[in-house]
Amino acid sequence: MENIIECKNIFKSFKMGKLEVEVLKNITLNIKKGEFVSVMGPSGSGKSTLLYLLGGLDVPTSGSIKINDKELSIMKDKEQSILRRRDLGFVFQFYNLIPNLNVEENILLPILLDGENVKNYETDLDEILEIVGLKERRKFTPKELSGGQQQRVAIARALINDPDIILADEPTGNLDSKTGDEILELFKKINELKNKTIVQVTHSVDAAQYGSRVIHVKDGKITES
Amino acid sequence: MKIFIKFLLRNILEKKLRTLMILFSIVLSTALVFSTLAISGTVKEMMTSQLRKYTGSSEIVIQKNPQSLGSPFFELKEINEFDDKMDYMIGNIQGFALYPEDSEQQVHLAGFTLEDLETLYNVSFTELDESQTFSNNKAIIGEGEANKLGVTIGDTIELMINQQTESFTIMGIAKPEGIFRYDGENLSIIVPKDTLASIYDASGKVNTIYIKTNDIEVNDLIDLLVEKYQDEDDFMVRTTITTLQIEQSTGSLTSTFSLMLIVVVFISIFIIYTAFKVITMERLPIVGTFRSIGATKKMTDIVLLGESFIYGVIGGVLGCLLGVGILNIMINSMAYNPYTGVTSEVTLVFGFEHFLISFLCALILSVFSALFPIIKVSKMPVRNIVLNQIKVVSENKKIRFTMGLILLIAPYLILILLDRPSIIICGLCIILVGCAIVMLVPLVTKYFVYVFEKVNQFIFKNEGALAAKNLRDNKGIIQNITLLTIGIASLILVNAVTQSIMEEVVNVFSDAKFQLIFQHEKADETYENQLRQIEGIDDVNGNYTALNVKVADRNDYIGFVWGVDAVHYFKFWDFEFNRHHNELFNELSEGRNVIISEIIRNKLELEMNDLLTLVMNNQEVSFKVIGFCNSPLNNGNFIFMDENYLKQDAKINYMTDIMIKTNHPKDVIERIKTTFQGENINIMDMDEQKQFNIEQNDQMFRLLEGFSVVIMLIGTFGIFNNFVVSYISRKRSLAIYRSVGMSKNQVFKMLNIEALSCGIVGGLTGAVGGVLFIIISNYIMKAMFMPVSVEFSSSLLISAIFMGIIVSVLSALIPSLRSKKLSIIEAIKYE
Ligand SMILES: Nc1ncnc2c1ncn2[C@@H]1O[C@H](COP(=O)(O)OP(=O)(O)OP(=O)(O)O)[C@@H](O)[C@H]1O
Ligand SMILES: [Mg+2]
Repeated sequence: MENIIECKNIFKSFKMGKLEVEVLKNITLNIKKGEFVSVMGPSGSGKSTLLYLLGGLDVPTSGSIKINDKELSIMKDKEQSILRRRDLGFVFQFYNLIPNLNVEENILLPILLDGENVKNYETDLDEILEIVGLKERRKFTPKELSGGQQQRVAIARALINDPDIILADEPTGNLDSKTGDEILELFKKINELKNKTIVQVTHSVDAAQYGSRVIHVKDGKITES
Repeated sequence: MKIFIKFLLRNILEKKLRTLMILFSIVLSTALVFSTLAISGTVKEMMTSQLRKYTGSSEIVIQKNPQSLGSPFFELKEINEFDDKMDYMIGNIQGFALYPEDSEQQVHLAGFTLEDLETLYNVSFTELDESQTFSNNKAIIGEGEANKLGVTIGDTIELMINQQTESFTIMGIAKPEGIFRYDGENLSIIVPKDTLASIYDASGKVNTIYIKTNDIEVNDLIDLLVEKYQDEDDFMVRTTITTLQIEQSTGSLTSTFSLMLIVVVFISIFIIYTAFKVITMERLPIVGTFRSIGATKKMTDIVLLGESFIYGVIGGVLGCLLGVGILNIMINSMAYNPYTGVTSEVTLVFGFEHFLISFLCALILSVFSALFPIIKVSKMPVRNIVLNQIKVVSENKKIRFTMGLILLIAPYLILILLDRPSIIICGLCIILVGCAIVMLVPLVTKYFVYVFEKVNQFIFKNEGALAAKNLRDNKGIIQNITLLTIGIASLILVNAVTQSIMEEVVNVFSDAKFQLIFQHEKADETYENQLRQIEGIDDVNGNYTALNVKVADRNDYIGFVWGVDAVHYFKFWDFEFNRHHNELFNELSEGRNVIISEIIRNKLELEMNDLLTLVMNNQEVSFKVIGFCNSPLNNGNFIFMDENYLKQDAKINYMTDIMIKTNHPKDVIERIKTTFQGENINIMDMDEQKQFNIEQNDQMFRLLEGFSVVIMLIGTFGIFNNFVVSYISRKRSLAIYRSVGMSKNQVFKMLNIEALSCGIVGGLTGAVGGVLFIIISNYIMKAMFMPVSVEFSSSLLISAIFMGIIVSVLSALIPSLRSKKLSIIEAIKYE
């Protein structure tokens, strides 16, 4: 099966004044279409950094990343943005919602940005709201929601555009185990039924079990996979 | 406590841009407070020194009544009995000469002894030939005059006095002070008193006495002197300058500046208040930390207040310094005479109290503006602060709306009810309407957002709709709209007022149907007839005028009482009257009747057939009001009566000026000059006069426009800062937009549409606010008895709206450009 994500010899370092901290050290990683990968590792090992690189939110110091056979580093901002809104769904460690938009508007953001008519997505929206259980709160603004509810909005936003890849950074970290399990079930379902590729970072061994493969990161290196 | 101070200083240094903005608005407001306080003093000083040019340090002047028919010369009587009441008493001769080398050049010639000259004007010399005595044909001139005539010490100059040529040797050149302050127009030359007396054939006599009092009120000494000179015929004992004269020239200026000041201070309070709202919000987590480790409410309040205190101190000091600079610029542009191209020397007058008041204003301004947000924080429970759980208390919109509406409507009800409110009430009304605007604009913006969502969606697609949604709850942007509204409204106000006054100035001259004005100290019918003979002159009309005539039993003066032969006079002026012309003009000559200006009518509350009693020649004379005249001439401070009654009642014999109708003004001027060669005449071309007046007013308006530039500057800076602050607080949101696939250009577009929408709303509400202010300004004009109706033009409103859009979009440019470099993950990870 073809690789939907290909990373070759990625290095990532941050400049802290004169000091240069190397966070990712020579990471090579291929993820096939339809895989559900869990990334595990101690805090500070570089998991989030890796995930941001895969989504094109940051650029590696060296090395190449290909999504769908396209090299990220040579893409223009506009192409990358289009990639993000059509082919990628992001769920962050800290739920990231726009405070002055309501639940519905937050979820529909990628559609709005694509300049599409949101009316065509009404059924999709209803379906997703049903899945994340926020049907009654569709007109609420983020500050009127609990942390878990906000995370579910973020997940709904990652799903609305039916992306090929979902990148999730500890998506269930802030949820109770029951809701967490529901979300992971949902991930598993869309992974199996729609053949979506999912990469999730997690600390929980249980959560990692939902995936088809586990990658361990330690000190910026992949130790086993 | 040390840790608090450290924290405090770090806070101030951390956000340089905002610190700069807060300081900037405090500094500018302080500077304006200072210059407004000091300008009236300085202008007074300027006017006084102009008025004192000839009278020096003296307080009382005694002369023969210029209207009297006899010789102006008299013998200097000993008045020993008042010796202890006078510092000095200087008899001298005021004369006039022509400078033959340049026939146009008139010379103010005065005869003094050297000693008296030094006493009166405190002259100091750049050069003085001390080997000579100041007698015979010696002369002293000023530096400016010497440069103008191209002469130095020892040179001989020739002067035409009384049709005779006399030559003088320059013995001294004086520093350009007092009488020697050369203004580019009038040359002053001093010659020995005795010499001048014999030239005028009045040996041993003088025509003017200058007196400075000692240990007695000026008016008391005048009373004594009047009594003393009573039996002598026709002496005039006056103060050298009247406060009335000065107040007339400074009054409207200071009130205009005070009005501008209100606007500036209002805007500054708003800026500082909003800045501190943001500051306290930002400091909240740290305040929380302090509190959680045991700092008291008082301590944290002091930390926050200390910050505003420091801004106040720094801003106050810098503001006072800038104020001196601004004052300097303002005064110099006023001292500049566009007619001669000479800027007269001025001394700035300000005292310690001006500094103190301005400085305290800065402190109060900054501490008070900061107080409200700080009190709000202080009331929050510690737990909420520590956990950073700030409940955004949704204010009761209904209350806000009703309050705003009341504040908006009440001032107009008051104005309509009072009809003629005082300037203070008008100023208060402007402040109230300003407050109403601040309260209502956020609510109005909400309605605009609904419109924008639809319109922007249509024009700019989804980014436009998102931009409109972002306006909804964005405090920074709503503040910007408010700031724009107030700024633009004030600009419209200032511009409308200036434009309207300017138009009136020009209008006055369009009412004149003559081309030249002729002046001579002793002009009478003989002169009128002589002029009528001159080829090219179609018609002439002499005017008799009594100046500053007191109204009986009131502390009011009528600036110009004109004695006219109505039927003939009004062929020269095209005024509007409330009655049929012929009938009115005939009635005027039938008895002690007056036609009064609308302004005087309002000021003295007179109606048709009322009696107006004037004090003329120390007697009360009553006149019947038979008509009203509407003209902005001399600010409407005038009345007309029949010339025979004015001459009789006010003992006036000579014409102030003679109006001349001609189709060839340039040629006629030359002919008049030849006809009256050697006489002290003055001819003014109305076209030149018009130009001169426009330019004179132009200076004042440039000043006012300078003020409005300052307002816009403060406003723009505040708006710019708001955009930056709101950008910083929205970084995270913008990063989220980017993470879900908004491209850099889309973010840029969205931010610009926000700024554009902000500008449109601010421009529109500002235009409405401007119109609201203009309505009040008409009441201010009424209160100041200015014959000006302030009107707004659609072009002014439209350009103001565009101004709002430009300011808004330009101020947003830097943050939106910065958004292109936004690092997504950094913004997402840290708040
Ligand atoms: N912008 C940055 N500047 C400097 N160092 C950074 C930056 N971002 C991350 N790091 C460093 O990189 C390392 C990896 O960070 P990363 O967020 O990827 O860890 P993580 O594995 O996701 O940890 P956690 O499980 O706690 O979320 C950390 O040591 C962190 O200090
Ligand atoms: Mg992480």
